[in-house]
Amino acid sequence: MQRYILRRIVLMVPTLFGTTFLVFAMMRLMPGDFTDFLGGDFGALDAETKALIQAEFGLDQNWAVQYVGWIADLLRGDFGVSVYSGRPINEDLIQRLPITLELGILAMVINVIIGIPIGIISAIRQFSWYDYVGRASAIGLLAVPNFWIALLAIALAGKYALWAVPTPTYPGLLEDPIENIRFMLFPAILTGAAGAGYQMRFGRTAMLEVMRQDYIRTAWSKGLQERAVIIKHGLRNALIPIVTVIGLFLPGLIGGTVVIETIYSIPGMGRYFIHALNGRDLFIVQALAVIFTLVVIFSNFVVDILYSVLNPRIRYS
Amino acid sequence: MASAAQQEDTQEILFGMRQADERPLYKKAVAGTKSFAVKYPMGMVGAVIMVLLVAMAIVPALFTPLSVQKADSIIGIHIGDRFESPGSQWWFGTNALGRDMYGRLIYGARTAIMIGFGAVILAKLLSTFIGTVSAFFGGWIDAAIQRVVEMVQSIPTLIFLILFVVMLEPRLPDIGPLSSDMLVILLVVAVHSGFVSSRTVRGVALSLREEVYVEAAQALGASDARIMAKHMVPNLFAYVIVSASLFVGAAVLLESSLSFLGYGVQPPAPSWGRELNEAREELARYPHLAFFPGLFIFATVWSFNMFGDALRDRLDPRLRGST
Repeated sequence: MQRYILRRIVLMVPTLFGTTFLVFAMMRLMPGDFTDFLGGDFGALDAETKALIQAEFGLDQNWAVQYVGWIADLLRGDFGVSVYSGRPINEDLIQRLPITLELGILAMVINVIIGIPIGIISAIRQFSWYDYVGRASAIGLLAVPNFWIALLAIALAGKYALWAVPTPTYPGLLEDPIENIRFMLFPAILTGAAGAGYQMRFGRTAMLEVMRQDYIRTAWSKGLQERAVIIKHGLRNALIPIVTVIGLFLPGLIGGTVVIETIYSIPGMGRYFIHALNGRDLFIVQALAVIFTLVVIFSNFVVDILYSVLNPRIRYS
Repeated sequence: MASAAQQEDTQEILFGMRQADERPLYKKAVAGTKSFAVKYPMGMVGAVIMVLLVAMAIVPALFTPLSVQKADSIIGIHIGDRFESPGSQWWFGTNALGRDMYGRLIYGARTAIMIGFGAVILAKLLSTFIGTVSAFFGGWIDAAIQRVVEMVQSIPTLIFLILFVVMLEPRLPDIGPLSSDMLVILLVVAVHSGFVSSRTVRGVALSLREEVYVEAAQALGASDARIMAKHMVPNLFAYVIVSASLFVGAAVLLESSLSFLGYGVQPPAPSWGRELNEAREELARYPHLAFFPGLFIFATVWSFNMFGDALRDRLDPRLRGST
C-alpha cells in the first residue's frame, strides 16, 4: 500500500511539470499579448514601448529562463502580479478562492443529495416506472445546458419577481450569510445538475452490480427482511465506488463554475479566468490553470487511494 | 470473437432449430427497427429526433419557409426588423440584428452536427489508435503515452478547450463548409476527447492482448501492425461505436458552451450557443430569444444520449445502464 502511494506520488511529478509547461507555452503562443490592449482608445503602442513593458515583466527572456523563474516562484507560493493592476495575484486569490470554493462545495452537495438516492432507488426498483423516470431525468440533466436554464431563470425571475433575482453584487458569506446563500443556491444547483445526472447513472450501475452478487442472494434466501438486504448488504457495498467517484466530477464542476460565474456575475475564479484571458493577463491565467489542475490531480490521487483502502479486493501492483 | 447472440444464432441454424433468415435486406432492416422501437421506445424517439436533425443539417431548406431561405434573412442585417415577436412571419421572432431566429436555428443544426460528428469521428479514431498502441506495446511506450493522457486529463475540460481555441483560432484555414473557427473547435474537442477516452480503449485492448488468437497470430509471425489492425481493432468496434454514439451529445454541448462564452463559432455563422450569448443582452425584454436556441441544444444532446443508451443496451448488454 505504502509503495503504491509512493509510486502514485512519483508519477504525479511529470504530470505536474507537463501541465505547467503546456499552460506556459500556450500563453506564449497565443496571438497577441497584453501590450496590444494597453493602448486602449488611444491606438496601439509603438513597438519600442511594447518591448519596454514586456521587458519589465521579464517577457523578453527566453522560454527556459521564464519557465524556470515562474516555477521557482510557484514553489515559493508566489503567483506573480497582474500585468494591468500590478497587484499580486495572491491577494486577488484570497478574495476569489473562497467564493468559487463555496460554489463548488454547494454544487457538490447538491450533486450528491440529488444523484445518489435517486440512482440507488432506481437500481432497487429496476424496470419499474420509477426506474424509467429516474433514468430519463438523469439523461435530461446531462443534456440540459446549464447556461440555458440560468438565462431562463433570470428572465423569469425578472418578470415574476421570484426570489432568484440576482442581486447586482455578491453578498459576502461572512457579512450577510442568509443573503449569500440565497444568492448562491440557484447557481450552485445549476453547477451541480450535470454531475447529478452522472452520479445517478453511476449509483444505479454500482447498486445493480452489487445486487447481482451471490451474497445478496444468500441474504435473501436466509429470509432477511428487504430493508436489511438492501441497506446492510447492498448499499454498504455499493457506496464504496459511489463515494470514491465523487472526486472524478471535479473537472466538469470547474468548467461549470466558469460558465455559471460568468452568467451570475459571481466574483470567483472562473470569471477571473475569463476576464484575464480576454485581456491576455498571462500570469493570472497561468496561476488559475495551475490551481485548477492541481485540484484535479490531487482529487484523482485521493480517489485512487480511497478506492484501494476501502476496497481490499483491489490491490494495485 | 463472435458475440454470444451471434454464436447462438449460428448454433440454431446449424442444428436446424431455426431457418436461416432469407428475407431481403430492407425487410430485415424494417423488422430490426420495429423490434428496436418496441424494446427501446425512448431510444427510438431519440433516433427520430436525431434523423430530423441530420436532415436539417443536410437540407435545411426542407424545414424553412421560402421567405427564410434567402441567406440574407439569416446572416444579413435588418435594422427595421429588430426584436420582432414570434408570429406568422417570424416563427421564433427576430434577434438584435433583425435576423430570423427560426431560420438561424435550423441552419445552426449544420454547425452543430458538423462539429459534433466531425469531432466524434476524429476522437474515436484517435482514441482507438492511442489505446491500442499503448496496450499492445506496453513498457516505456505505454508509460510515456499514459503520462501524456494524464496531462490532458488533469486540465479541466473547459479550461483546456478555451486555452487551445484562443491559441489556435486565427491560424487554421477554412476547409469547405467548415470555417476556421469551427475547425478549431472540432479539432480541439476531438484531440481532448481522443486522449481522455483512450484510457478505456486501452483497458479493453489490454484484455484483448491476452486472447489466444492474438498469441496465435504472433506465433504465426504476423507483424505488430497486422495484429493490431486485423485482430484487436475489429474486436474493439462494438465498444467504440457505442461510446461514439454517446459522445456526439457531449461534443455538441461543448461546442455550445464554447460559443456561449464567446470562444466558439464566430458571427455571422449561425450557432445555437452563440445565439444564447447574444440573447443575454436583452434577456428581460425578449426571453424567447434565449428559449429557442437552448431548446435546440437540449433536444440534440438528449436525443443522441437516449439513442446511444439504447444502442448500448442492444449491442452490449453487459454495460447496461452504466455511465
